[in-house]
Amino acid sequence: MLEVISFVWNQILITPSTNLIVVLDRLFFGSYGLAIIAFTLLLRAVTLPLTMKQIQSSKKMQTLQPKLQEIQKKYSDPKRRSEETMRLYKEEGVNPAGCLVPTLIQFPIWIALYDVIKTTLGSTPESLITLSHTLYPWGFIQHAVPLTSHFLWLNLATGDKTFIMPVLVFVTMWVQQKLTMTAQTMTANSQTAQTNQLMLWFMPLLFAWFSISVPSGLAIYWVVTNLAGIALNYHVFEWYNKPVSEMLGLESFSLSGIKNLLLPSPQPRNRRPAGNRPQPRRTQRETSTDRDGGDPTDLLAGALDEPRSNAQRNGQNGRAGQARRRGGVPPKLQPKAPPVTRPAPAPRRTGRLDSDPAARNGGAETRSEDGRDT
Amino acid sequence: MLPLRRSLLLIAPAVFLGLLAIGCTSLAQPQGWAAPVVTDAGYLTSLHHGKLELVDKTTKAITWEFPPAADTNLPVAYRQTKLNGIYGTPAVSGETVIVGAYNGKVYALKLADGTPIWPKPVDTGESIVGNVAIDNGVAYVGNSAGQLYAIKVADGSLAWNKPFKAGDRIWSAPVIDNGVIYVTSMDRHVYAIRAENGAEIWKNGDSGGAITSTPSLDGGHLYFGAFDKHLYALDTQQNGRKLWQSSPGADNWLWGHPLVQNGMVYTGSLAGTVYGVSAADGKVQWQQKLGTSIRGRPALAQGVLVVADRNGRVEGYDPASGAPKWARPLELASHALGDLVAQSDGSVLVQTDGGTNGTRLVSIDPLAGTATDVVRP
Repeated sequence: MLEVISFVWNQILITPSTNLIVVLDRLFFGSYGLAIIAFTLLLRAVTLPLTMKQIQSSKKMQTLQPKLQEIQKKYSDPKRRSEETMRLYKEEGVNPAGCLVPTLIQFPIWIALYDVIKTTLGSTPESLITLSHTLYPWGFIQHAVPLTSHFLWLNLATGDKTFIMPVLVFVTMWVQQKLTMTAQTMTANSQTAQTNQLMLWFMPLLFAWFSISVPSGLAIYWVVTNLAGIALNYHVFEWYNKPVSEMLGLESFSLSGIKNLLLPSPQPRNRRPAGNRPQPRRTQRETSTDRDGGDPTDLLAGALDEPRSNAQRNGQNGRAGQARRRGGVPPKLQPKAPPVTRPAPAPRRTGRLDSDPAARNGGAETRSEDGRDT
Repeated sequence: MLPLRRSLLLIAPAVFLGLLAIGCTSLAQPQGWAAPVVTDAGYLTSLHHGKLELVDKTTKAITWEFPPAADTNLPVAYRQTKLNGIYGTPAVSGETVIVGAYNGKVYALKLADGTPIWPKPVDTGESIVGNVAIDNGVAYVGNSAGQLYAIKVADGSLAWNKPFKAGDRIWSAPVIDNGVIYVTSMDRHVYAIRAENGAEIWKNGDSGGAITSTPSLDGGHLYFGAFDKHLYALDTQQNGRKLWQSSPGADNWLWGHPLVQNGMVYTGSLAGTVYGVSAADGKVQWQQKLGTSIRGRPALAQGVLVVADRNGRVEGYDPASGAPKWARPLELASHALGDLVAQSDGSVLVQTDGGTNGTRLVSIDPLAGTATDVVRP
């Protein structure tokens, strides 16, 4: 079995990729860096149907969010909730794991590319000997050896000690993920948002760290593939009509989101069934959510709590809340009912109270007539 | 905590695969393939990765190793030395051993006890793969930046104002004759350089592929293999004019140092085929498939051409016809490293590494086709 896997790995992935990248090297005037860029774009083109499927899946998931939140509100039993959710997915023809497939497909490609770069650049004498067994015997390919490992300031066979590539990997991956998430979390529930937030920071950091030690050729691949992803998102989600701050969700940006990710809040004390219940008493977490409505943490703050604030149940994201606090009209969302002022709840215990804008203006909070937090 | 757990489920494979990739880096670390050197004091060899050792011929004990386990007595410049593998076979000049390491530095050691001679090693800046050659008290060595250094053995100072620069890596050993250095480069050229000042005399770019093969000089002719699967012969008396290129071509790159004997040139390909080529016209006289990659130089001893492949398969051939001399090839059950060394007693020495039998120095009887462990740490 291991031999079969090894054969498939080498003959289907490594050998053709190695030869393709050597061909590209020759086509791009012996520049291995350009060959990697061309290889990446080619790979992006080949996997475009999968990527588009992923984006469509994301978009479809967005449209389902109100229904999903309705299910969450309606069913308190987790099993029933899960069944109803799955039924909804089935009815709508949505595969919740659909977003993951293209990413999972890329993993073996990364490892293969790592292998290809190490081999093709002949960074060690042993790897150059391995290359001799991998190249097709065609003169056009054979003549390309040895490939030059220098591109711009980089030695493509070794890690970038200037840390420029790790920084580029981090930035491009962060932006790409942020673009996707900004679109997805418009209506996402808190759990998805928390997962997204964790991934938003963790994955770029992880890959930036990898970029320090793996061949910088691989870092070039990551940067280019991220840039391609950004361009694709830009086009599909039609970001060109929107300001950059909205595109990246920077208007609601705060580093405190990271803190909340790492230090989850305690569970509320009074858990009650979600359905047919009176207006829930606002927990400490919920009030904090209101305070930081525009912060990414507002999507996370109540993630571990049940019930959620009505605003989030109704699919309104934190940006909307923040915009309202500032007295402006939130993007895309218009309040369904004029807000009414109600008295502030009992004094809160958290140290953040002092910085609470609501507290500063007399503790007044707003709630719409239909009971939604605004 | 459920979302956090879910996140970790997503992150875990990424971390795992990343660490796997990082782990693969260690697999791709240079291993080294220096051939053993037989001296009166013992065998100079690298039995342990990144160490140069002198093994006593009688007791088989390691007399010294460099870098030593305890280096506090060494000058500061030699402390915490990591050679990162030794590919180039060390050169011995009197009581001095000169070795170039994959860390890009050249060391001069006392043969007797392995202590450094120079105040500090010569740092060439890029990894060294080729052998060191010594002539007239000057050591010549190439590096992966395509530079050829000339270093005075006595004190480690540079003999030239600046190193000679080729267009690509120099992974072969220089050959010196009558004050002229001949060296090959992966830029597909052979260079003739004046030994006294490093000036280029001529260069030949007839090779269609990169060259890692150390050239063999015989009767004013240079013989070397190339990645274009051909052996080449150049006339050094006519500014490196090409005499011939072997025909037909080999089945893969010709990496190793060819052996020239009795009007024949012997070499092996990285596809594991042994070739006997006429030194007069480059026609392939015979070829035999041995196994996997052949990189080391064959050895001719007691009328038998001994060749080893990467997987430790060793065969004895008739040098004239290429007919196998033994009933069956020897299987050393470990990788054969470096060039084979014909000893004065008629045996052939080969160093092995890895596999089931591990690192050893093995002596091969060319007539009987048997192997005996000389050193097994």
